[in-house]
Amino acid sequence: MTDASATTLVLQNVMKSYGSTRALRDVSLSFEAGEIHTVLGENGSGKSTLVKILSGIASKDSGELTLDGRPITCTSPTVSRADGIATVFQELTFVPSLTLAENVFLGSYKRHWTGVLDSRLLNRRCDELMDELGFDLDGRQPASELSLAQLQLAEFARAYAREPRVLILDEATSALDQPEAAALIGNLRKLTSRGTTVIFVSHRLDEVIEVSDRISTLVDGRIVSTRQAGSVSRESLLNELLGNTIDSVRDVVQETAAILKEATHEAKTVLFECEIPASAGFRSDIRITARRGEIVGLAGLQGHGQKRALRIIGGDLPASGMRRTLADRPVTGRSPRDAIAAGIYYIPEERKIEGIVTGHPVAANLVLSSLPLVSRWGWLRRALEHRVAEEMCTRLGVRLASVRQPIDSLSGGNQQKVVLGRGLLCEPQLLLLDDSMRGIDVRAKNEIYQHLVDFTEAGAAVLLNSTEIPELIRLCSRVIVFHDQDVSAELTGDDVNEAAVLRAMFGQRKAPAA
Amino acid sequence: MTKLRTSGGYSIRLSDLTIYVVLIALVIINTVLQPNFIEPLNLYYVLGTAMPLIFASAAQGMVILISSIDLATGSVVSLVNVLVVTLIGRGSFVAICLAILAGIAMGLIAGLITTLLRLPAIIATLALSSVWAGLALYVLPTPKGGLPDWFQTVLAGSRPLWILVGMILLWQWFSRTKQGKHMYAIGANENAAYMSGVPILKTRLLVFAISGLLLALSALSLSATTGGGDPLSGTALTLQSIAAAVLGGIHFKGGSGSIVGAIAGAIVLALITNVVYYTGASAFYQGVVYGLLLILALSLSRLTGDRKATFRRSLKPRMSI
Repeated sequence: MTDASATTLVLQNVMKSYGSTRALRDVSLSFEAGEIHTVLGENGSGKSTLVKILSGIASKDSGELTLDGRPITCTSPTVSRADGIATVFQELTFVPSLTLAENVFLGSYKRHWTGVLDSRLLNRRCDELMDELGFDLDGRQPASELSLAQLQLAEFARAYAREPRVLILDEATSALDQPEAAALIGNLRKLTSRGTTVIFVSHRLDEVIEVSDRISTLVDGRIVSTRQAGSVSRESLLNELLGNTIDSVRDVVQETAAILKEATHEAKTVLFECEIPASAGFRSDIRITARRGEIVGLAGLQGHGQKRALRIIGGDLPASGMRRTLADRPVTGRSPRDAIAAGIYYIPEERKIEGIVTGHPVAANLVLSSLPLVSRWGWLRRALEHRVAEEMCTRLGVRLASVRQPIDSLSGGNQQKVVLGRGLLCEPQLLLLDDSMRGIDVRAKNEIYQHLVDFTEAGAAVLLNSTEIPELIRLCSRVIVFHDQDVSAELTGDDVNEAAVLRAMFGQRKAPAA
Repeated sequence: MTKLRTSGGYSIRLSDLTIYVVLIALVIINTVLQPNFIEPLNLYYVLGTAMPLIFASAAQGMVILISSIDLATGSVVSLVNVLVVTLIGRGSFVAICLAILAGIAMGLIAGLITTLLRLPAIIATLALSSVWAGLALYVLPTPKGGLPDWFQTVLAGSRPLWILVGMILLWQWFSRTKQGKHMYAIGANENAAYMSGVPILKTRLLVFAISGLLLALSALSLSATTGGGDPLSGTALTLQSIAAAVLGGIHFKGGSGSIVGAIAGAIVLALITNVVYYTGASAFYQGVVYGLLLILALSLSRLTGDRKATFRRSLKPRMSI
């Protein structure tokens, strides 16, 4: 056990600007050996910049960094790693054609005298590592065969294997379901008992409060406070992060959500009906309905079918024999384009890959699905495009300087609002959200919740797939839970609670409520 | 997808074996058309004439594996070819050493330009191709013979076979070294490789240098088969080497495939040339056949190499994670 009060990493007056945006105004922070220290902040607060600087991906403009009393530079990922800083990123950094073990030890290979990689040693070390961590992963498996969650665990294993002085977890549990996240977090203590400092970045507030020793809050590129985790509550952290705005927004959502729940007890007209045959990869035929004014939740452990069902409804995955009816009219066609034309808009999870067109202006991203709306005789009317985009940005509260700025320059939450805006411009009757709020800060989330509620109040409906159970419970009047490629429960009314959803996710069946 | 699991823990996609099935089929077709085709001496001869393309395809394959491409292949071979013929008067040893050094240097230049200046390989190597072709014409404006007799016996008899065996063994070794794994990592996901601490510049330069060396060997074997120098001798190799590498199962976006496959691809192209010849069709059809094959191979690798692509409709753009 190392002396718990020994200081390891110290940041002094670290500053960083991107053009005119000041990401880190002046950050001074010290981390102690053997502690789990959470840095909390909205997206755009400078949190990711801080992580990037420490891992050597971005360079600081000014300020000092010292590790164990020695100044460090963090000029490249290799330098940071050599200094003992390991980072687990939210984005996965695996090479599909290599095996898991080869990936885990990539960049630090041992070889025998022939120069050939010692794969036996590699696999043995990988087995030992997975045993120690309690992960059920086989190092011999090609990385291309692993699921997102398995890859994220392996990312952690890789950083763990480097025996770092400082381990940074940047939203590293976002793709994990709760038991997996718990397995990962349980391993953090093994590291801290050896004197490693863990810097934890997460949006899961409950998780943060539970695992952290200390919590620092970062607002607008400045550290607002650093406190012992035992002395803070969820509410006080939220207030600190978001000032006073949050309470009102949250209350509104909770109130409206409550009203919605009440309302669904009354019979409402069915807006959307869908039957997906078992042949699309399910254990039995899947039937999903949505009434007007309803937000229907889809839940399940990673890879249990809920995401696939949503993608099939959105036309993103093929399923022969599927029947969809929206507002009493059958939805034909097999592509997202056909679905959009019929009034179904799918908002994907991977914002950067499937959501936004990087490098293009916000306005162009907004009108992408509804170009006829801003065109005349096939010509895009630039002024109209900008006016439409500005209106939508104001309506959704997108924080930006101009709709002409590239979408990449917005924070994640604002990017997602733009994607939502793109969907709303098509005036759909049914919105499909596929874990679209993953990795977005609390304020933006709450604002998006409010827009969803407004959207459904106008007579439309939302199907919401989410890995965060509290999100489902807060928003949804009905939650369809998947287990093992089948619907294990359809929860309504008072049954929509954390325990029931969790039970159903783990396969406890319940007859669908009438 | 059907997979074979080997003892080493590597799994082989069945689609990777397609090229060998095609290879065997072509050997049979050739034998039917020309019964003495299967005799060892003839096989050695066919292999010998295919050596320039085999080396060039291995060179191209290495570069495609790191998600790059070399459109200068043909010009590099031409330039080295005319250098050998011009320098042979000053001693064979000197000429061969300089030729090999020139090949490596040209590979390194391509590597430096694409890595340090971050120019897209497709443009940078196209530009370089023009430079090397121009230099080749400057060194030797018109074709010329004059290589000593022994030079033409380098690939005589069973030697091509042994060279091939040596190449395959060297590749089996190299692909299992640290540098080999780094090469795959860069090809599959350069960003991930960088973040994992893989030395990007060093690995890329190494790959381009090896590719340059292989191109020099391609030029030397071309010199041996033709017995002279021609500033346009290598021109056809650029397209052929890309076709061979992709036919051989090297993924066009890098990161998966094997040089052994590229070699098999090169032999397949050579055998196709043979078939075209035996059937009495005009040699002009070769170009048509190569081009169509390349398109076919690319569309096949798109369908079989990418599980997501088979899952989704083909109109959907490819996605990477």
